[in-house]
Amino acid sequence: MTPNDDKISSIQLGVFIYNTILGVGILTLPASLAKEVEAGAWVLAILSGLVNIIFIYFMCKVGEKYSEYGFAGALRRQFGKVFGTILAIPVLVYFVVFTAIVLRIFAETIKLYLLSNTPLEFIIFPLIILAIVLARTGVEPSARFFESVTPLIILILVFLMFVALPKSDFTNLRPVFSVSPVKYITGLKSGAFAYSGYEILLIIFPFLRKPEKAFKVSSIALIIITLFYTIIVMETLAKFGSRETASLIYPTVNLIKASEIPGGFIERLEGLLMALWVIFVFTTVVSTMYGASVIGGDILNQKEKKHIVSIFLPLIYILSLTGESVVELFKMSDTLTIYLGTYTIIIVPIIMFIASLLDRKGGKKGEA
Amino acid sequence: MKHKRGLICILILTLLFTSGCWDKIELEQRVFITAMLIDLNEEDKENKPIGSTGAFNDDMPEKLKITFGMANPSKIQEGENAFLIRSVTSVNATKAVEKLATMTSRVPFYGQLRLVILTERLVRNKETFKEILDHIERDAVINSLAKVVIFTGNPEEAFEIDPKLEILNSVYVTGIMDNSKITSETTDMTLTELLSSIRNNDGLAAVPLLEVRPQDGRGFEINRLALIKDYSLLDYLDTRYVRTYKIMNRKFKNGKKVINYKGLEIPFVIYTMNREIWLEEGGDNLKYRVKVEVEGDIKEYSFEENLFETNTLKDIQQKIQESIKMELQESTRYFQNVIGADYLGFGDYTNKYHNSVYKKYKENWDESFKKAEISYDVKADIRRIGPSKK
Repeated sequence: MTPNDDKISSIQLGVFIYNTILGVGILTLPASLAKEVEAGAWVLAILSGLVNIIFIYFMCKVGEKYSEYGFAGALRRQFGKVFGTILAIPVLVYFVVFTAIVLRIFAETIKLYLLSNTPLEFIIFPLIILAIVLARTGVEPSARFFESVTPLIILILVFLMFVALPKSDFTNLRPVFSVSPVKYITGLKSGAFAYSGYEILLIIFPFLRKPEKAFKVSSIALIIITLFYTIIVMETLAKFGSRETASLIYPTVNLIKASEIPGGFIERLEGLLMALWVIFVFTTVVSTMYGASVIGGDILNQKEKKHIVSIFLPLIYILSLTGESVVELFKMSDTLTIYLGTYTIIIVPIIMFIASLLDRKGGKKGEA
Repeated sequence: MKHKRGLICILILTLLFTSGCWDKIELEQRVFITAMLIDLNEEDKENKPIGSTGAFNDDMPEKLKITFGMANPSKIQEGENAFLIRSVTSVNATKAVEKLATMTSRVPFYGQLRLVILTERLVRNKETFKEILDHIERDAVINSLAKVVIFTGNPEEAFEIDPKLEILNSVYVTGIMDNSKITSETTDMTLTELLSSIRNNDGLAAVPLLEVRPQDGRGFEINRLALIKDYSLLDYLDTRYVRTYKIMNRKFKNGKKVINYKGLEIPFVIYTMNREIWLEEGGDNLKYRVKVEVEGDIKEYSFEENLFETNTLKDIQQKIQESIKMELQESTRYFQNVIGADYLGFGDYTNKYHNSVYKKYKENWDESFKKAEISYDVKADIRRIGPSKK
């Protein structure tokens, strides 16, 4: 019997992480990687995926130790009430801005490829409303929704990967080390953030039935995504070559556009990708909104997280419409990842981890 | 009370989201652009001042002349009146589509584009050609699998041609290109391939050349290549060298090689081809060794002559190898000495497999290619001889 306590199982956590990471990055990743290291982009895709396991490790170790306190609670415990709250606020801002930018990139892409006459506001607004409806219900129903869409996502994704295979030149994956290794290290910066989304681990521990298994399942989820992303980067390179890939904004869409089913009974497959992509983005948005609500609730000392989600609606909506042009939007996205992203994904987990090592009493003591 | 308020909210929201469909478009409102011929508008050059005030678009020189071939999807089944050809002069391609909309009753739709024809004049004009390339890449709807050819000759002439077996000339042309699967003389290229080739090789590409064949009832033919270098037309590549181009670029699918053996012209049908390149160290110039392996069938011999014999086949095999080797060598020499640009993929290979070497020669690659020593090694295998022994 599964108890009705809004907690999720390990498999559900894996699915949750998987769906949160899989988002806007999938369309733009090959371009940003190819810009950094040319044909070595696929190596960078693997490297930057694996690098993230380190941060997952930090997050999980800390989370496990303070599993019943939650993110803000753990920070407060480690750094005192005031300072802990101050440390938590940027993470809240990160989740809110992240949601807004994901929504905007989503809307821009949909407008470009599918709904060119529909106002941006009307692409964004229904998605926020629906995401709020789901996020309000809590982590368990969201995880169940994610579980139900995952087979569809994987099926269509694998199908599209096969479709893109013919007429590709896989020698384009060479030369791998034509650029200096330093570029790979600097490239990790933009590459690693394409896998962001797993920072939801920071807040999710109080809702886990088995916190000790979190590291294993999240790493598996990340590795699966790394595999998917690497294959997509490889296929894009093989189809277009590194320079053409680097010059596109959404190379993955172009990849599918340039693919055809032998026999040609379906044309314009990018429609299929875009339709599927709505789900990718939706799950990401639900998850980050939920993350924001949990931190918001903790900061405001609210037990009931439901209403906090709705508070963010106007904020996210307005933020998502701030960027003037696509160019500015992508700049905003870069700025977000450089400052708040580094803070949330790298700095906070590391300082929390160090603090947790120093904190002998630990979180577990409370249970005894 | 609470329930009622919730219900009202939901109703208002439903109204909000169901009443607006901004992108609704019925198939009956569309006309598919199936082909477009992009040409320079030579006549307009003198008529209008180059520097316009910028206030109105019609002051600007209309440098392009684009002819759209359109199909009405709802009438294709009936055949009659389903197709339409319209020429538009315009500043650029996007504006041309807008102008087109002022003279058709339906929404022009790019998504089903099948063929893009660029005229020779256009491709010679570097700036305009680059504009067109950008237009194609920047359009989100355009079918990037549409084929592309370069057309020599008078565009007016092309419209008068009877599409022979097909209903449309565009289908006629794409049909010829599809045949590159079964012949080594014709070539095929999609928009994606053109864009990738040009982008990855700094403006280098070999595009199929569409020509009007004067004899027997005037028709189209594609058996040459238009060589583009530095974003403009460099030269035409004769049919005899096309096979080498296809072999070296791994585009070869199927083709016939006729060899002379004991006074007989024997066709050898090649259906598998593999080529490998090695860079050999030493010397001032680059040294390449190329190995080409082919597999195929003998299609013809002579009546009452025994072909069902290992030694005869070995002899013929030998002959095929020599003949292909000679063809490759001659063509390579042609590329090195006459064309003077690397269309054979040696630069690409060196970049991918010997990157440090490539970096040394990169600046002046064409010169290094011209001086490179390239040797060929051909291995041919005869697999089948058809159903008869003699």
